[in-house]
Amino acid sequence: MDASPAVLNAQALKRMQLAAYERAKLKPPDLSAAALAARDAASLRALEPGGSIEQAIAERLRAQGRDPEAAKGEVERLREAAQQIDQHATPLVDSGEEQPLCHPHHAMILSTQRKRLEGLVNFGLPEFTSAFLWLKDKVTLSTLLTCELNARTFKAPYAQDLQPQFWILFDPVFFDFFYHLSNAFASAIDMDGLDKSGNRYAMGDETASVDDAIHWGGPEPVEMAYKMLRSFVTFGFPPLDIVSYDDRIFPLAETLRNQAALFVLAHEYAHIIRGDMDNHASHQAPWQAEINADILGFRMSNAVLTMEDAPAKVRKAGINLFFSGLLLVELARRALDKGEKQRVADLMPQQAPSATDSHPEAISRLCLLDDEFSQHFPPDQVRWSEFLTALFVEITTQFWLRIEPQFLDLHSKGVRAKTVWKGSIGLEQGNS
Amino acid sequence: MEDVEREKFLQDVVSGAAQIDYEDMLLSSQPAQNFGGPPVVDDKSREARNQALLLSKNTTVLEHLCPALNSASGDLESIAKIAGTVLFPLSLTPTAPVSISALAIGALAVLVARAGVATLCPECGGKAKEQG
Repeated sequence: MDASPAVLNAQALKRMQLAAYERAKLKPPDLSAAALAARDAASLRALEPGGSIEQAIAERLRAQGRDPEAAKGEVERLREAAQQIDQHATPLVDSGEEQPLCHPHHAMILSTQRKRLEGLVNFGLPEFTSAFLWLKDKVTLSTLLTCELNARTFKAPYAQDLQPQFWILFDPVFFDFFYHLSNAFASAIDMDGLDKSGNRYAMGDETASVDDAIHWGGPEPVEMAYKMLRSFVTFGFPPLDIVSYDDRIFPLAETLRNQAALFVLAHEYAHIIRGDMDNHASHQAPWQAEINADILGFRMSNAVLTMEDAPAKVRKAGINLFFSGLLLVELARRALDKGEKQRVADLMPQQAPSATDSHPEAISRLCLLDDEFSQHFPPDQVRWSEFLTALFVEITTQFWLRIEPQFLDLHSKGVRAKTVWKGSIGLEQGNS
Repeated sequence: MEDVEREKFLQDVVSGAAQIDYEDMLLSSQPAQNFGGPPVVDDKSREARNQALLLSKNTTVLEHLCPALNSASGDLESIAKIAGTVLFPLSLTPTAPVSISALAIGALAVLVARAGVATLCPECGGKAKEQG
């Protein structure tokens, strides 16, 4: 008896996930609960006093002619930062989906965002109700090691035209990158200052400044922004050298990265809803399809946040984080590859997109979504949202001004950007 | 010794088919952003795809392959295994009509899985593609 399309698609997805590991020259990781617990325990042992990490640091210090005893302090700092990450980690809830090649934390994040989006059947907008009723049981969410900071939508190969199936697959590195980035941004945002100056700006006070909503509060945000960008952009891995943060930043950081994941997932759902995955689609330029998916994705993520009673003024925060991340990556890559000073403004496109261009620059997409927001909300909320966007662009700019010299120094030493990112899986397997 | 070589060749064909299939799926997908990584299809893969097209039109290859494909179940791995098994001896022949690498046979298997056996072998009465 022939296998059902569902079985064939599950086999095809697994085959593709395995092919992706082979292409990246990595072993598919064992993501069972037992294996993950064993790896966590091994990491803890490595961080113990006198453990392998202390020994490695001591050796490095010795080779540099420095006091190897200093390794103790460095490991103590790393241990504290690792403990803090553990304390603030979201407890794992079984997503109920069997995904042997998807990390359970990633499956949980995706499953949570899917539930939020599927709740739009009850939002009261017929367009969303019919879209999500039609989408029910048609979309599989998982991860795929593409070695890119990306998510992709696929039309599953085995399905009838009237009953199509889709896969939305995030690269695991997406979660690595936005975990660290959200911590760095959250630690730079002064929530009290944001409330006060955002409200003033919303009420028409042009003297309200985003500077009042930024606090550096020590070297951590900039230090972490540099370490994470250097690690991802030059090695394709998350940073090993982590820092501790103020405990209060973690709820905001988690909200930011979850909103970013929600928006990216909504963007991908938008491609499906708009028919961009149809074999016969596409009479429109690829860049136009991306902008349309951004706008519909924004409308969906905004509707989710409305249902959850999130204030309108902060509903673009995750979107801002997503595009700020892309801007920082682009700035770091250009600095490494060209060795020239760059500013956020330099990333603004100098000419209109051509018919074959795919994704517009991040800064253009961010501005277009601000325009979209302004068409649907009252003026005070529009001004609040503009203020929030300006804040993220300012933090991006300030981060970059502070860390650019170090990237230019790396360029002068011959370091160049890596375009294949293997994330924590590559790191665990010691791959380069 | 030949058994070991054949087994290794078969594994390479199956993994090559999965790689070509992966690349094609990636090319047909909608990414959330333009990351600017290396090209999905590299020179080696492009060469194998060109070889596969030549193989799919070569009479000698089809004479060997089509009867065997009649029993294929339609899934990529099964087609790749059959194609690898049948074409392995040809790949060893110095006077082979076209260059036959494991990756090229993998690419051929992808062509067959997509189009259906009947398209490649119209006179063999193979199954036409029903889905996808």
